[in-house]
Amino acid sequence: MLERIDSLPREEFRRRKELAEETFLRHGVTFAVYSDEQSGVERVFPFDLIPRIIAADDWRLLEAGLRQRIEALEAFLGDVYGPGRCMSEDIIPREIVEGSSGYLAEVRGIEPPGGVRVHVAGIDIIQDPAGSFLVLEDNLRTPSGVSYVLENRAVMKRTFPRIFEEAHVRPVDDYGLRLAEALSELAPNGRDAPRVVILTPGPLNSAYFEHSFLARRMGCELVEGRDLFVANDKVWVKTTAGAQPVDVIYKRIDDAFIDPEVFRKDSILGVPGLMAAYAKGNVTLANGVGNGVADDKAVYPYVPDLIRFFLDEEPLLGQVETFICARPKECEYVLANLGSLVVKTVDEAGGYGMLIGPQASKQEIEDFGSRIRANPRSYIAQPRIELSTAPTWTGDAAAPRRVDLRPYIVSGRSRWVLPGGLSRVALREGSYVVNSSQGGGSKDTWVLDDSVDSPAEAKR
Amino acid sequence: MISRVAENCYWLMRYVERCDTMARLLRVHAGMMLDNVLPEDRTWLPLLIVAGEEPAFEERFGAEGVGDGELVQKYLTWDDSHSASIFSSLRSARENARTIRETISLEMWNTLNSLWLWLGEDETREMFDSEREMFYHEVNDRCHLFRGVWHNTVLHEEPFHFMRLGLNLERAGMTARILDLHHHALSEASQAPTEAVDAVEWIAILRTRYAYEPFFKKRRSALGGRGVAEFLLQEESFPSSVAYAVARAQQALERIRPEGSVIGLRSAELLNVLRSTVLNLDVGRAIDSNIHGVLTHIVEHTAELSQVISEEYFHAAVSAPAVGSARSVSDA
Repeated sequence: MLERIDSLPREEFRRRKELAEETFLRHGVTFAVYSDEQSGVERVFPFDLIPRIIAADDWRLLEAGLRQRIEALEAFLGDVYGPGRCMSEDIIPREIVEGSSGYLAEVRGIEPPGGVRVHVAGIDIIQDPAGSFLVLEDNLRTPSGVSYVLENRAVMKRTFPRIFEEAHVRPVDDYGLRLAEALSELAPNGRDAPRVVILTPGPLNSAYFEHSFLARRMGCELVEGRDLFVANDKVWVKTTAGAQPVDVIYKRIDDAFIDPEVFRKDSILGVPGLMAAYAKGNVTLANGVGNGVADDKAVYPYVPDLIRFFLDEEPLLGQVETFICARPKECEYVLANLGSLVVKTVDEAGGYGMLIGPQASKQEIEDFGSRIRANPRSYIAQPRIELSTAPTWTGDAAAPRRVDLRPYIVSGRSRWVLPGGLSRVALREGSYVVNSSQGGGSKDTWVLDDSVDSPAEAKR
Repeated sequence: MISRVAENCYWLMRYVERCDTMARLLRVHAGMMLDNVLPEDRTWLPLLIVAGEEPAFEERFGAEGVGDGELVQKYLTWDDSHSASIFSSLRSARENARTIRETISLEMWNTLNSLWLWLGEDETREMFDSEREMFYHEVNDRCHLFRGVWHNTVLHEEPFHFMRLGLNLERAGMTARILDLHHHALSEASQAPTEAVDAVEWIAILRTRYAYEPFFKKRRSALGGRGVAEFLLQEESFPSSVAYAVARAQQALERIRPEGSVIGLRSAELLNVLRSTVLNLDVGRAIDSNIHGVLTHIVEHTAELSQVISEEYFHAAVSAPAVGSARSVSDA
């Protein structure tokens, strides 16, 4: 496949790339950057036309590992907000769990419909130089980026129709339907034809494109907090025909903002009384409230043990060795080896609050050291893993650039893994940072289907 | 549908209409200058008045600025410090569209977003400088395209009807406003026969509302103030006439309101009154007595309507149905 793309004249490739970018811009597949100006300049997420290809066998392995991991994390969340066995049986220290900023005591005792809390998960995966998949990070609150997966695919199909015809690439188009189905079947009291809405912070949010995109693909309404209200512990939406009941809310707002009566009082994005309705079982919230405890970077090192504990299975996916600064001995080691480690702040995402030792200046290392000493609970450290690379267009030729992968797992009454996911690529030579806010781009991810022989069949 | 989304639908079409009207006004007035029959300030001042920007403009550029056609054109085309420019209207239209992308069609979004991106290109700015007529023409054409795409790519259901409501109220108000600008000419013309200067003005008014050819198809009478006013107020088969726009707005509201609904009573009533006011108007007599008063009344009436629609549909105080309603019973 790559050879086919490689055989295109350079000029032709450049022309197709321009076409693709124009499509993104015209479709408004953009994110707003607020650091530049007050108004929020819209940018196109840089896109690389050379796909990331994953063989069917590799994918089978990865998918099984992801299913296992989500099952365990789901069980962990149910336990943390329920009986707390994993803590009383010393699988994970109570202070790690209850000290996490993602742990919300208000959620204790709440049993969500179907017992599902991790409706949508995005697990960040890297490959080590030997090609094994390792989990780098779990995202169990509001993992974003899936709209790019679907838009990237649409653009690829338009840009390379011929090449696509010959490839046996598994489709990703049904994501919206799968998610809508999963959420509908978890409506409170098994209601028929429930009203599912997506709750967005509004058009000024940098991910608004994705919220709006998902509303279209899921065929549901996009609402802001001010469109909703709670009365009699039920959630209602204000319509032109008066108040209408709401059954399921796919929230794309941080937990801290969803209900000013319970969490941040200054939140104007949320819905007063929402938590009460949730506690009464009158509304399904996706993802569950309080999921942040399970994707906390300080909990991450315990996940293999949690898999063994809850599922009585060996973990199928490896993960990166992690030092927890909250533990004095490990903290000492981290401080002594800052120059060779990657240090992360436990509750920051997006590549912020991070130290990449091997690339940092002496001053940066010293500054970070004193921040760790002041607040060890906030930091973890990992050896720098040599991310695997994928061929990437650099303007005049293809060259290796580092990539990661975020597959998406959707859970309703059953579980479904989107074949593929968001491949993010560090476009700058030598860079390890794949975040869009810091010079990263994305690629289409092709999971090959080996169950078909001919292209004609593959398309079915 | 969700009230906030209905509001976005309503304003989306109003802003597109405003953008279109402003481009058309500027284009027609620039053409009128070529005929060289009016002093510059008499050509450009009405545009500032129609935009509601006269005080702000004068404060910034002084009274002599009004005579500077180039300045007025730039102000009403590109200036983003006020809401009446083509640039600002389009930005608002696009922002409304972006907010409700899940409601509008992909084609609507693409058409509008393309217009917005086009407006920001260097080549477009160059076109404005060197081929102004073509520039305004392009804006108008793209607005027409957008409305065509709109009409043919969405379900003709509630969101569509709110868009129709916005478009037609904007149109009705704008037509009355444009006529009102010329109320002096209307009153004067009733005293004296039409002169060349007047003819240029009547033609300009008609062209501003895309009414030049339709007018002559419909009325074989001589061109004059009364005929133009009657046509733009009462012609029931012309899309930009007040009567036509109000009738369409009424239709839209009827589709939105289920029969017997308690929601929207005042809006429906106000629309009824407006329609009969317009249809029953004796234009000839009004011109002889107080056409300015009549036109002002229509403009204010449409503004009040917009306010009431907002209160009844977009920002109504909504409460949960009392326990015992159908849904609550089925929950039990």
